[in-house]
Order: sequence, then C-alpha cells, then structure tokens
Amino acid sequence: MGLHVRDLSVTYRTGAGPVRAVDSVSFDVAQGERLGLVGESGSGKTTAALALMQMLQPPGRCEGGTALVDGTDLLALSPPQMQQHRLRTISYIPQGAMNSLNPVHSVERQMRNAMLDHGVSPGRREMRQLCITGLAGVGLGPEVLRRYPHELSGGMKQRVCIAIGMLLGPKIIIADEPTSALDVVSQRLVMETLGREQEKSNAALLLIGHDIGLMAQFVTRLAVMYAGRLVEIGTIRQVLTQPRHPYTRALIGSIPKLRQRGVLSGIPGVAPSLRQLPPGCAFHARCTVHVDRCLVERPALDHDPGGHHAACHLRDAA
Amino acid sequence: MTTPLLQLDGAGKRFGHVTALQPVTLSIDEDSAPILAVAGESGSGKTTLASLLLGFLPASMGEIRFRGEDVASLGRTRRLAFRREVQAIFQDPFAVYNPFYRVDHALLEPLRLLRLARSRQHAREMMESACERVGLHPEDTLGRFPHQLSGGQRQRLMVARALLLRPKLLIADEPVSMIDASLRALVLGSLRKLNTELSIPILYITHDLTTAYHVADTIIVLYRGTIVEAGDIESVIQHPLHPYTRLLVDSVPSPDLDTPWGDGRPLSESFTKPAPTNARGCPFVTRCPDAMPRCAEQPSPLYAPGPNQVARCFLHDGKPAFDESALSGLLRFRASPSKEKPS
Repeated sequence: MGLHVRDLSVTYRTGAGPVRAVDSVSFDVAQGERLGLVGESGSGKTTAALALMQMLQPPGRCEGGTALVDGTDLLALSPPQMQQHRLRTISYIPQGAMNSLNPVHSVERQMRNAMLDHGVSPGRREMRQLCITGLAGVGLGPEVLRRYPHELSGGMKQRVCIAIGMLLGPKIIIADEPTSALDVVSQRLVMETLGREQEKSNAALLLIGHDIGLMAQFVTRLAVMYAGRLVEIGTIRQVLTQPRHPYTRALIGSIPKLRQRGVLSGIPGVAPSLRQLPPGCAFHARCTVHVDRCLVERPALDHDPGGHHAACHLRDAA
Repeated sequence: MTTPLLQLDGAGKRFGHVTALQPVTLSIDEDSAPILAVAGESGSGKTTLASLLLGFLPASMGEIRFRGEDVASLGRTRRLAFRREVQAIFQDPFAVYNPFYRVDHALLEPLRLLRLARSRQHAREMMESACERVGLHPEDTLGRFPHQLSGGQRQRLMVARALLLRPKLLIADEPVSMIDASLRALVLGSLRKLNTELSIPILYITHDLTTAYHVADTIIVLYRGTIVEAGDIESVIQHPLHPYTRLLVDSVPSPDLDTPWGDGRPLSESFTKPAPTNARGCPFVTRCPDAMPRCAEQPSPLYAPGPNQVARCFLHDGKPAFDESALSGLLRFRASPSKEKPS
C-alpha cells in the first residue's frame, strides 16, 4: 500500500523545443506517512503532482514512469478509469483555494458534484450526511453547505477543499501548498485539520510546498527537487539536521527565523532555465563547493543504507 | 517643522456597518527612512490602511494629507506628484498587468511618462539592471506577455518597476507572499537597499511576521481594524505584549524540529467560529486566552509598558497610558543599525 512512484518524467513540448519539467523522479509514501516535497517555483513539484493525477494540461505530457497504488499503475489508466480513482484512491488539494471552488455553486452542490463525478451516487439523504460529516471533520458547521465561496474566508475555503478531497476516503492525498495564501493563524488551523483527517484515515500524504518551517512541523520525510530532478530525500530530521546536498543546505540557510534580525540569506544566482539545462549537475553554477566533475557528469541519487539519499558528487567529501 | 509627506489624521474606514479600520493617526516623513511593517491576519484592515494611504478609498472619518493637502481634493498637478511619489507594490501580481501588452509596457510606460530615460537604449538598460536586481534574467523576462511568467516573476518585475521610479514612499502590500523563500531574501534585500540608499520610507504590509521581522524597523499589529500593538520590531516580536501578537508569533512554524508549533496544543475551537463584528470591547476577546470580564465591556486604551512598545490590552492596566496621536513618534526611530535619532 501507499504510493510508489518510479522514474516519473514529464515533458512540455514548446515551440522552442521540448522542456523536461520532471526528470526520472522516484519516491515512496507509505500509508499513514507524510512526505514533504520542496523546491523553488519551476522545480517541477506541481507538475509531478499533476502528472500523478493525470491532470497535466497540454503541451505537458507524462513521458514515462509508474505510480503504483495497491498494485494499480495510475499512469497506465485510461482517462475514464482514472476518473474513478480520483477522490477515491488519490485526491489532490490544489494551491490557492480562492480559485479552485466554483463561485456560482453552493458548497453543498460542489461537494455533491464531486461525488457524482467520481462514480459515487448514494441517495440524496446519505449524500447530505456525507457532506455534513466531511465539513464537521474540518471544523465547519452544516450551515456552510448553503454558502457560496465568496461568503467564506480564505481559511474556510481551503478547509472546504480539504473536506472535498477527503469525502471518499482516499488512500493518497496530495496537498499542493494548501496554505500559501493564508496568514499564520489560519495556516496552523488548516494544517491541524489536514493532519487530523490524514491520521484518521491513515492515508499517505504528499505535501508540496516551499516553506521548510511548515515542513519541519508537519512531515515525517522530506524530498527536495531542483530543476525537475530529485536531489535529496530522507527523514525530516536527516535532511534538516544533516543535509547532504549543497542545494538543500542553501535552502535551509535561506529560511528566515524569528531570531538574528536582519540576517537574511538567499541562494545566490537563479535557477537554470529548463529550456537549456547545463550539462552535469543542474545546481553547479550556484554551488559554492562544486568540483570539475560537477560540470560534466550528472550525479545520480545514491543508495544510502540509512534511507537518506542525495544526488551530489561530494556526498562523502562534504 | 517640516510637513509630513503623508499623514493620517484620525482616518478610518467603514464599509456599511462594519468598521474595517478604526481611526488611525500616523505621519510618514520624507527621507525619514524607517521601514514600518503593518501586520495582521486577513480581514485585519491592513490592505484597507494601504488603500487609504494610496488614495484608492475615501476615508469614512478623519483626513489623509499628502504634503499637508487633503488627498481627496488634490488638484491635477498635485495628484500627479502624489501618484509618482507614493508608489505601490500590490499583493496580486495577476491583476496589475494588462494581458494584451508585453510586460515591458508596465516598466516603459512610467519611464516614458516621467521622462526618466535618455533614449530607448537607456530605457532598456535601466529595465535590464532593475530586473537583475530582483533576480530575474532580463532575456527570460522582458519581451514576454504576463501569462508567460509565473506569479513570482511578475511580482519581482513590479518591485523592479518601483525601483525605476525612485519614489518618496513605497507601500508594499504582501510583496513577497507569492515568491519562493530562497528569492524572498533577494527581493527584501532590494527593498532594504532602496530604503537605505535612497532614504525611501517603506510601509511593508504583510501577514508574515518572519519577513517583517527581518526587513522592518518598527511594526503595527492590526486585529479586526484595531491597532492592538505597536513599537520597535525587536521588542514586539521577542516580547509580545498583546495576546494576539503572542498568538501570531507562536503560529510561525519553526524550522527547528524541537520547537513545537504554537504552544503544542491545537488551536481552540473558538477559532473555527467567526468573532463577533459588533463587539463593544476588545475585538480579540472571544479568542483570547487571558480574557477578563471587562474586556468584553469596553475597549482598552493603549498602554506603554516599555519605552518603545505599546499594547491595547487591559493586561497592562496600571502601566502608563499612551496618547494615540504620539504613535508616529514611537514608530519613527530606527531600531538598527543603532542610528536612533536624539529626541
């Protein structure tokens, strides 16, 4: 059980040639586990998630890989088959709840449609009950059913999205920056809600984001993406306390803390354009410790017996 | 005494029967160069405050003055000066671009209107260097249409635009909330540079206390339209005096694995219910762990328990009361690098 992704690759066929947005990404999320996926914008986090949901928009295309859930390869399913698996097997909680609810439908109608669209049609009364239970799970009362999105605050809308995502008890939940537009108090509330619901259903959770503070407080394992590739993965403690990839170290160094005022460090340089990735390690131009080998040979993710893998030539030297 | 650049005189805003912002008295001097953070959750009135200062909304009470003149009745020339000297960076980098023009338009138009560039080539150079200062590849950015750029790129271009205009006051409303953590430092760094090198005061409006802490000198904390705490940012963040500020500080998720989120307990049930909008007393009373009976009865005045920090909370009853109109004086001093003006 859980989600097992192997060699997931996504290419955008653009006028200027193909752009590999996700390059041979592999990871596992066990039932009941929370895996965080961090990286800068454009690193391919959301694209990877959308590929797993078969929700990529052209010119994006999944070019290979498998995503096994309970023996079923999600990537090999036909669109109608996948439709049956969304929400029941795997749910996607999108980024920016403000834009993902339909403004002209009530919350109840959207929740009902979600069930009907994914092949579940219990009776009317039962359906209403499911909706009420779902909202109660995220701390919202039944009166919210009649409300329209504009009548809800950002935090409430995001919790409605979580309720919809959890309606049919999915085994896998992908939450894509579920709190990026919320203030810290609402963020804490939404993450508490998501965590509680995930624990209740023992689902595997993939949390996408770029806030390492949030990851530290929420996930059990952390994966780091750079320029479409996975560069490090391990338990949250391994990755945060003993980062092995220089990019991970830089990322951790750039977290602003409520200490040492005025000390703000970013990562020098900018991420390379995916259209023209440099040969070798994609990070070498921004890496302070790169060696000649990094310019020519692309490092592969190593097989660390402790489960803390990194893709860096300096892995043992550093 | 010089006339302040921009001044709020008991200015507040009501929408229908909801008071979005209680009257605020505050003035911002030219070349004074503090970075003032205005922090609070959604609905706290921070964007309303920005809209009042920018003259986008008329005040429901009080007056807003630009160089001594009421913003509501500025003449054409003065209004143009106001528009140039008070620049804004908005929260939503989607709405600020015209989708039919390349993004260059947003930068070229002000350069042209204000005759800031000597030639086409010079304009191009100015645009390119501004892009680089906010971490954008000019060749990947200029010449594109807004929909071809990410939200983060578009927002950084807006900071670049403000850099080009060299304004007298910058009002930045959540400028980095849509930008990656690794690039925030860069953008905030360029805001700070703008502030110190050109002595441009910045009003930094945000719900993110962490970035506010690093970029600002002083802070105002708003809760449901009321200033609940204000002062030197170091004091406010390290020793919050109002229970709401404490909650905000505690809710920042720490990257330190051994620091629990919040006080380790889940947020109480009261947070899933909206607070009353017409309470007579403290707006935070229904959510406050330290609420006393009198908190629901009457609003607290501002108290000044420390030299550089005030809080609107009865917990500090007995400490000297603070005159609201003296807020500007409190917020004007610079916290660092120890350049405090002699009083």
